[in-house]
Amino acid sequence: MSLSKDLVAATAEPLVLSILARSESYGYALIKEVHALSGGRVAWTEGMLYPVLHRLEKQGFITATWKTSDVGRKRKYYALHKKGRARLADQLEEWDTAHATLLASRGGAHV
Amino acid sequence: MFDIDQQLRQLLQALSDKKLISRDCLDEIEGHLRDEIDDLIANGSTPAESFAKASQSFGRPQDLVGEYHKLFGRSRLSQFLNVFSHYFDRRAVVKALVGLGLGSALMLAGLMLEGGHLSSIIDIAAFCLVAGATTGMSLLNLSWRQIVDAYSDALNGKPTEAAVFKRIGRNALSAGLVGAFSGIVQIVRNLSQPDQIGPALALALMCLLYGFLAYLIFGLGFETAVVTPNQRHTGFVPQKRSAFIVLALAAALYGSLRLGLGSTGIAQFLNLPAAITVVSGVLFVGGFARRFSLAHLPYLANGALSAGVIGVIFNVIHVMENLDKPQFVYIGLSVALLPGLYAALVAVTLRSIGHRLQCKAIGVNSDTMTPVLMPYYAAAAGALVLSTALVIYALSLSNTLSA
Repeated sequence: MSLSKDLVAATAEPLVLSILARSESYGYALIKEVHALSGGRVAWTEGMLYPVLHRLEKQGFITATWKTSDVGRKRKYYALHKKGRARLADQLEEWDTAHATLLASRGGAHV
Repeated sequence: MFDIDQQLRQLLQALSDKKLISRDCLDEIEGHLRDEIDDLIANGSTPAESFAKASQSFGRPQDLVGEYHKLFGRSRLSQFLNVFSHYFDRRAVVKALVGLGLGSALMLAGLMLEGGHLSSIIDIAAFCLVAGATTGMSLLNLSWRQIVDAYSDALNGKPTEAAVFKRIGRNALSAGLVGAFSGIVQIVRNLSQPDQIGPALALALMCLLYGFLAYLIFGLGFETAVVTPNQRHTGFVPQKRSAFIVLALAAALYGSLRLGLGSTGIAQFLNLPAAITVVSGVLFVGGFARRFSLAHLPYLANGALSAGVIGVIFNVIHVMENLDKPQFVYIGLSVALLPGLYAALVAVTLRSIGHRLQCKAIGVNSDTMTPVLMPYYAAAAGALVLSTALVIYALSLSNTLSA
């Protein structure tokens, strides 16, 4: 089952930060990675991803550098900034809380 | 036959028409679509199918524009600031401006300390000649689009070929030389009218000065901005012995000139304005460097050399303004060469150190690399001929004066 549009938008920021925490990456590679990680259930579009990347860059959570790829194509690589690492930790905590609350509401363990 | 490039251009045109999307962002989206299309073709799709799938997954252009509206606001000012910030890396622009500001301030300080004044280096005719000739020659070799893209990319930190800046820098130098020669032609034509010689000489010197300034900023400065740390410089690499022999010869000539004028001692080699002028050239160029590395040293050396030439021209202009004071003229002419001497010393040192350290870093024996020496020896020979001419001229003036 694929995610709703609202949930895709809500998860975009923590997912981008989380992938960039492992290594720097660029737009197309991020879309492919999310597709692979979700087993094909989350399909991002450029129209959704680039505004998120540019907002995170503007807010100083990630940094961008233009580089030339192996095939000679110019690519903008994004990397996680120190500020972004703290933001990711906050977001993961929020998602853990939301997830635990949801489980508890269905009779699972309490928060 | 399906033309992917044309289809992509149409798709991106639809976005750029919305004005809110900067070229930087469009370049990023274009790279993305090309990566996706290449992958699809590699997996067996035809170019037409690949383009259709890629543009489908891209979504509607208006959706992307809508997202940017949400992100950056709808006001014209916020749109402009967004587009501007994507065209230029603000830190790089500020750094380059600081370098240019400091460099200009030091260069002017050197001029003032030598006794010159600002009005002596402002010449609208020479400016128009150099600016017009540089623009004209550049547009013969390059399109507006190429020029604007190259400068915008350099300011935005994108990898860019330095060829555009090299060409424009050379054009600026050529324009300066064209102006200088046209001034010399005027002098030769008006040898019988001494009052015509001054303005013609001023035009020649000012054209040369503006040519070097334009080269320093629009050529060398931007070349420095796109230097990558692992780039190996293929230009002149001075071999210690030969480089220092040339320098020693220039210093000996200068010393003999001052000796002929009655000065002795090391103090005759010390000149604060000349040193300041050479440092200004290093600052001019250094401000453009993004992350400083060994690969930048040859560019700083060229900056010092250009500033040295500018310093010599400053001094010669200053001397020309005081032709009615012979005592000033021969001292002035001898001091005029000092920025060139300092610049050569700084450039040779920076290049030697840079070359050796870079060879060490990449594990190559620096003695096995063949230096490209010819143009620099030609320039050094030219400088020596000029120095000798000035020595003879100054000595003859000195003799006339004492007689």
